[in-house]
Amino acid sequence: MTRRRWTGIVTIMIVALFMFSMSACAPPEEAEPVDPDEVEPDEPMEVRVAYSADATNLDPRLATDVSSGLVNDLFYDGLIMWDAALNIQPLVAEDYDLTEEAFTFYLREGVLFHDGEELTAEDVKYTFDTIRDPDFEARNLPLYEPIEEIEIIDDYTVRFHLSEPNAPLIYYMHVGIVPRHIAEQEGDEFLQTNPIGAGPFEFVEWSPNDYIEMVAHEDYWGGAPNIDRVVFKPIPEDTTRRVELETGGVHIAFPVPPEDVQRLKDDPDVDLQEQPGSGFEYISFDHTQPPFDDRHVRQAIAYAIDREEIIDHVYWGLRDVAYSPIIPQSWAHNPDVPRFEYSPEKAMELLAEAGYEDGFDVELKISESDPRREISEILQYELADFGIDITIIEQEWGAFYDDILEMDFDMFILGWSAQTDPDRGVYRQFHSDNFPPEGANRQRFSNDRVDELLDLARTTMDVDQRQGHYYEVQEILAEEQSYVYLNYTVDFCAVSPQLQDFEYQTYFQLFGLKDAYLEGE
Amino acid sequence: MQAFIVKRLLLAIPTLLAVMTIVFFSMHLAPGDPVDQMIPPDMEGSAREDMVERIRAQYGLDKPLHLQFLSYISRIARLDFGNSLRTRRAIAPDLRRRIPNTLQLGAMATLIAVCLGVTFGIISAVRRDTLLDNATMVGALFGVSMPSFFFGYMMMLIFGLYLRWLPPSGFEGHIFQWAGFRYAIMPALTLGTASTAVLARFTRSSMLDVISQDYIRTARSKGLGERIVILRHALRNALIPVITLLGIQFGAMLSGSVITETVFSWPGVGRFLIQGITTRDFPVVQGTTLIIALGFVIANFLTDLAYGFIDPRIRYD
Repeated sequence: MTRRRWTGIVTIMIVALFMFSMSACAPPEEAEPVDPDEVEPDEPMEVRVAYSADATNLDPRLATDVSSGLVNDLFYDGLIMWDAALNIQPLVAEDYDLTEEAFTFYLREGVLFHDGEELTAEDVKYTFDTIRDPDFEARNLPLYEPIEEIEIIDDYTVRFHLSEPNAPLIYYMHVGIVPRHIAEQEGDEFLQTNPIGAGPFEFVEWSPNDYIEMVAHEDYWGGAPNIDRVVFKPIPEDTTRRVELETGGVHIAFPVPPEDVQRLKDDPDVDLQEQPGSGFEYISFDHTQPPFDDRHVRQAIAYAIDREEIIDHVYWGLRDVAYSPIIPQSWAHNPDVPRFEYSPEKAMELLAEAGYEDGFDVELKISESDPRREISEILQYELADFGIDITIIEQEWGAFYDDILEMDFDMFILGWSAQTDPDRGVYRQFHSDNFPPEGANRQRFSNDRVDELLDLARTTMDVDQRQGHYYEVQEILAEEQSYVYLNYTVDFCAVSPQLQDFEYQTYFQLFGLKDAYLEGE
Repeated sequence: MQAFIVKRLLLAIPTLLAVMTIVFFSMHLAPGDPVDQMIPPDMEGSAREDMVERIRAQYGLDKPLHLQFLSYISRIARLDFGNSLRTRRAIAPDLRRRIPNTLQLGAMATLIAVCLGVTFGIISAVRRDTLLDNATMVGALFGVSMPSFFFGYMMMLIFGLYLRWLPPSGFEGHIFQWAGFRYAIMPALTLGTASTAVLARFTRSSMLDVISQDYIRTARSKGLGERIVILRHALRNALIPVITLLGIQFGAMLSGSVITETVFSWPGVGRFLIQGITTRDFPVVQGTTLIIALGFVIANFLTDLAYGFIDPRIRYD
């Protein structure tokens, strides 16, 4: 083998490696000729958004994660949506009529899909029929089980017949309506990567984990958006997102971690928007075993913990103390339940009453997370004063979740998020029909009155009556301290001051982009 | 020669099989059921159970582990990487898009490491025990010890945020154009720093060995200029062990890209792996680790070939 041949072989291999690396990376924008109309005379208004994780699925019937949801909100309009106080607002349905037997929706006329076809009752029926088809494998299917049949009354009226009364179902009617003709022509998988809806923005391109690009839907029924183009960039690291916002690389960056909040509030070049979150954080207990089978012990824990201090230390004072499983902005939230504010004396009394004046040893399980670790350490420190010796067990999420489902815990810390109708959170966490693995009543809380009230609240259509039921549920849950509630979450979104008329929302986070515009571009 | 190449390529198969086996079993035997995480926790009732069974059947998770493993191996043999549990889409197109990005970053980082590392190493060796040598070696110690995410963030803050010279994250186009190249500068420096430091230290000690050899003294006594002695006679020989290290370092960079790509939102294989791990997406973790292992194997193979080129004494017959 000669030297020259060696040189040849090595060179060829290196060149081949480079050729391979080049082959797939020719930028698509190179091939696209620039349309002079787009650049001159007006520069297109492009808004760039940095969010923490890429969308997983652009078909709203299948997507269950937050990232997919907020992107899909812009592609697809649903029948209804709700405001910050969780009041139902019409969207594609301009009116609706809810009874115990059926939900009827009256659709707007002239709502066009991005391909120009009109959205009709056929599309609504198709959307929900596919979700209800087990073969379609929508993960949200259980939510739609109360629907017996979907009837098309006429092109603009559709009726959902229910097998049993179900008030919370209206909150599941926000799913984006998909065009039946496209799904049937192209196959149901098509929409997962090529969304076509009737929302304010039209899909252009998705390069997974790189960007999602969309342009204004000129024929949007609510009026064409001012913004010409929106680009979503998944940026997992908090610091990187912040730097991108501060350098003008993006106009919107969220979520904002609590440690960055003060700095961004002080920055005149950032408009930091704050909204109450959709969840809360709590400590749960094994209700079937001593010591936590005794509610006095759970109440004592609630009194023994300085929750303000936890919020100050772990969340930079940005959250509010929680005392109920229904978020404060909800119509069902009862502000007058017992709050068990910090009182070491009362804690001591209750422990003595329960026969634990010398304390006890317990394990506290948490999943890997900095805030949860800090909270556990504060708990460990504070409860040591009462002789309660906590062993903190921090686990990888999968292992932690397995243990929770298998009830292998004394106490654990977890959060509940994305609460809409109170039923979705409270029924699943506190009704005794909902023990794991099917349900989320992982503490095995069982109270006949709570079960009865939750059933009533689910099947009563009258909002005032439902509110009454939930008020009572919250009172009992507070008295029982089934959970010791820690805090309500809060959402922050950092926005460039260039972006005007944009308001970040707890739900439908970026839907406000349809009304926003960029100043000085 | 051909026999050698064939032999090396065949040897790569058990290596890759071992990697696949370890990753497969460590993912599947770790506690935590991925299916539980695929269904929203607030879904209740019997429909949820049906769904769990359906998903298990669909992804073959209901079969005994050894059968799952065999079917995994047979699919990989057909270059079928499977579908992501999270997105339900095939993984292969994602990998195809990402491999070039990671290779470009790795290549640029390697280039930086070789140019800077070898240069600093030579200077250090030639100016042994001077202030310059000490400063370089202390710098190298810093380079090796500094966590790459820290170095990355510092650069991002200085050059991205305060000076605004470079885009702080992302990647567009490719590195052979300025538009793409500017995105790659900070990630490549971050990725290449540790290797630069290792190479500098290694080149220095290797050069010192060679410089003390008789043939260098002979070369000098022949009256050759110092530059020729160092670059032609000493460096050539000193580089042989350095090349070995380079192969290993390139492999290390592939795994180092996991952190760098996450910090700089670089759309490469490393970031894909992190995503797969955090969401317990088996097929993604298996696919990406296999690709990284393959990169390692190829880098080592090229290193072996390069010996023959650099050191004429080596024969593969």
